[in-house]
Amino acid sequence: MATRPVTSSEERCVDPARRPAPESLLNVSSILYDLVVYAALGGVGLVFFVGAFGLSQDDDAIDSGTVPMIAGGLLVLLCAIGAVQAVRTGGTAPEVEVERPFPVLIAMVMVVLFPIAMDALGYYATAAIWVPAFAWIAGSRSWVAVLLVPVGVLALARFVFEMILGTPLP
Amino acid sequence: MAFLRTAAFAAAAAACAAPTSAQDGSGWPNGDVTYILHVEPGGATDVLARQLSSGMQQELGVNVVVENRPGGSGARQMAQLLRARPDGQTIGSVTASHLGMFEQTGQFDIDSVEWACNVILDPYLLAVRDDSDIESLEDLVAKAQENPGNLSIAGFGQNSGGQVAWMIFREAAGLEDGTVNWIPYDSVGDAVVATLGNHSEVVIAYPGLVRQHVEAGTLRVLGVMADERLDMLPNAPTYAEAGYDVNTNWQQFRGIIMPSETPIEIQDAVCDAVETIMQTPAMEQYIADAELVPGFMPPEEFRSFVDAQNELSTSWTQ
Amino acid sequence: MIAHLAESLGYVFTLNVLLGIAAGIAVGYVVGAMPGLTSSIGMALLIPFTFSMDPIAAIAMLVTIYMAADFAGAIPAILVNAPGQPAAAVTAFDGFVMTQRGEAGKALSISLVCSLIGAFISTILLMVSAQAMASAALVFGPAEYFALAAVGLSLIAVLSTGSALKSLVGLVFGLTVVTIGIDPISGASRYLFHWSLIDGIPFLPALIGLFAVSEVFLMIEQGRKAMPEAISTRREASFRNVWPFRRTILRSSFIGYAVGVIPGAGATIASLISYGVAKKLSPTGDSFGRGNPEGIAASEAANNAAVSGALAPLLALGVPGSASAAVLIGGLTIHGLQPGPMLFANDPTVPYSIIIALMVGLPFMVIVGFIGIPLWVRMIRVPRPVVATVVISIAMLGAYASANSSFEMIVTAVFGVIGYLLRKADIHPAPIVLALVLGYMLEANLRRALIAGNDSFFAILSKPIAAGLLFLTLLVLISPLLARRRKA
Repeated sequence: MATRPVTSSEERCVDPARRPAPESLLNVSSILYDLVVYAALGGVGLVFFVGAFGLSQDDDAIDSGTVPMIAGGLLVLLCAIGAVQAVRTGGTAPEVEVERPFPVLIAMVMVVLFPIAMDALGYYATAAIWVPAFAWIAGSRSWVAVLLVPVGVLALARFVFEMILGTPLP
Repeated sequence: MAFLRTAAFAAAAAACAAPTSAQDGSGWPNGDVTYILHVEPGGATDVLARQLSSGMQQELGVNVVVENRPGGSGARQMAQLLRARPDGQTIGSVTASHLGMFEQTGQFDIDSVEWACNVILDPYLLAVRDDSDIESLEDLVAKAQENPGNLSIAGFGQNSGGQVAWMIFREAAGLEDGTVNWIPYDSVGDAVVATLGNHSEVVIAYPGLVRQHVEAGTLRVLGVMADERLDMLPNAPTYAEAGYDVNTNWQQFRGIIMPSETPIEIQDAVCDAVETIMQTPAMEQYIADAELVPGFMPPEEFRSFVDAQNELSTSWTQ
Repeated sequence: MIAHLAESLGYVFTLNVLLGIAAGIAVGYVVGAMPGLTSSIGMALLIPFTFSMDPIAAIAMLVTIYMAADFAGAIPAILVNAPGQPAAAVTAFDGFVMTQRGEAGKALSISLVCSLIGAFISTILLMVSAQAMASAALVFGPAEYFALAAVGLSLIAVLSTGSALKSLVGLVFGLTVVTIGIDPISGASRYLFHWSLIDGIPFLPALIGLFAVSEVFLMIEQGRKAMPEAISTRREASFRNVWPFRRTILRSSFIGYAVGVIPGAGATIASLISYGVAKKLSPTGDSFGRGNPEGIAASEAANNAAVSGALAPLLALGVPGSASAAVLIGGLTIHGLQPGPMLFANDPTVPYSIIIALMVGLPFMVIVGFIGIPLWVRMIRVPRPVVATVVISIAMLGAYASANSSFEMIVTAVFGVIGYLLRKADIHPAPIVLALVLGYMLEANLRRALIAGNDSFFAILSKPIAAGLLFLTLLVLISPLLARRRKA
């Protein structure tokens, strides 16, 4: 995760009429966030740029290494420009706000874990647990929804994917 | 709907097939067979496999379920196939491109699977646009030597079956490397189109991909890399007739592989079924319509064929 | 031609064929609206069911899937910013902004009507010009494809909304990672972190991750907050509504057909080019990307027109113009029909039946869309957490179905996280996705052109079409600078 709280995460009420409970909010200075993103993408560019030297082996005008070298180098350059720009004009940009950061983080972890769990337990068993859990994390607090959504998803998997489209689900 | 009927038929048939011992081949098939393909749905190899599977379904009375596991030039399918039990209930498709993939990934080799049987054998051929001034293989060689680097040949990929076939011809004709530019396309079909559009002077392809264009008068076949003329292209000379004696064993094959250590009796049972299906009128009609060249080979013959292919492939691409 | 048309009419108006068309529309809408399932997957998976159908019914079913999927691809693009088909990514530029303004009904209606007009005009064009256009398309070789990809990339760079630098960063990021995998020209393996990547990053899963999954994370941020209230769920699908955009629609239909005819160029480039042209020529071009309905009109008319366009080289030359057309070849061979230069001569009723089946299918596709709009708009009233859960579940299923493998799901998940983190920095997924589409085309064809031309760049510039397209690229790239100078 690239988001780190800079200004301490601050709680405030969102739409008090509908929701009396306070929701968490993560504020990150946009200069810092931009710099982190540019650094990450620039790093990717650098990996490809450096790796490209090991790929050039023949004497064609454009060989295996040329395009990754140009693209990677350009990415590093653009990120550097972006970083300079972010520092120079940074004051004007609003902050990057992440509402409900913890549910978002948990959802990300869940999405990455889903295929791994599916390989171990099979699709239906995994989805039967995962889908209601995801609905809960996504903010659903109605039992009807938490129960009905997985039924709908499993029915979709069974009838549309397996029966009509012939996708063999593990 | 049609598929409901097929499913019902297959289910009824599956119930009739008595499960017996699976060791000696007489017990095969013991329930549904899974046929794993290394290609995306819809292409020539996929359609061929689906035809075979519907034939097997009728012949054997069990469901033959086709699963597409494309990606990794066949590596994904291999991984899936090797996870299956070697009991004949899982079979896979194979084409010459697997040999190149073995080398590129280093993950698998020719001994990773059992080479059960071959189904289709397509010879390579060289073709030009009909308005080209290259009339014969001899013209091609002469023109290439006159102006090295002026001609280009279109084909599928790098170090592919097509490029090896081209290198075999090049050596027989005494052409230096670099006299004709090899242009790798994403598929043989793309290479044919590029030649139709005059972006390459020559193309190396299979009979089925050029026959219609020959009939329409847009392409001309210079030579077929086979021992005898083909029924579908009676006017095209063989390499030998055109004066270039080459090893014609190098051909594009499509066959069936099975997980390593599948008993030979089961492989034989599978191949017997395939051989029977290939002689049914429906399958013969399909092979003719799709302009493929049948080339059935049982297990031992297929394995030694593939060994020879692999040797040729590694000796040419290294 | 007229005689063959009349004869084909008789073949199409039979119960079997009409049932085939109806089934095609149903399946097409389903696969089209689900991110990850493309028309080619839907068609290929239904091929086994056509074994027992009669040939015309089978082919009619397959082509209607192709067209209906393109109609439906815009629906999730507009509603949840998750294009159902890659080409609908361009539709999302304005469509999703309109949904956020509460104008989902209007956006969907405009998309439906413009899809219809685009499809109708191009099907007529297909009927009269298939053979001529297909032969003309052969002019496109490596040099020309390289130049076409360059035009597409330059358009992405200048069309995307927001900071120009950030869309360039996204574009170049896409161009960088698309080099992963076996190099198609030299066979060398590049940046193979794992052998599953031997064919590169699988495109569809990456697209689903960048659009649909990242949107789900944004939805989760919003929690149970209500979605923007739809101003009206009434359908507004009338020709009066799109009358102001008639020029754009007409132009986009022609662009879409022409680009579609070029094998391999495809609906995505067609949408992009027609969107770029419309933005340049429209009096309200400045508001493109900020919810201008004319942007939807340009994109949808073009990508539906490209569908018929892709059928031209297939029917006239046996050359598939797209992945779906390649599947159609498989479907035709099963029934003993070999599409190719002899098809119009040997079996003329086949191509004409396909054209008529498309025509017959169009009104039904519109009816399905017309009935559906109020239902789809109502989706906005479904609580956001439920929508998020359903979208992510379908996205993961779609990713799996694209290659029957959990590896695709991992790619989707990872690109979902990347897409979300980048969106928080105002780097949008569209330039990344379009670079993934065009990057391979750019590199492979440039290198093919150079091999054929013995490493000389003049070999490319000496081809008039390639040179013209490269000049256009240059114009597109410097036009924002010129515009800025004029203003200053």
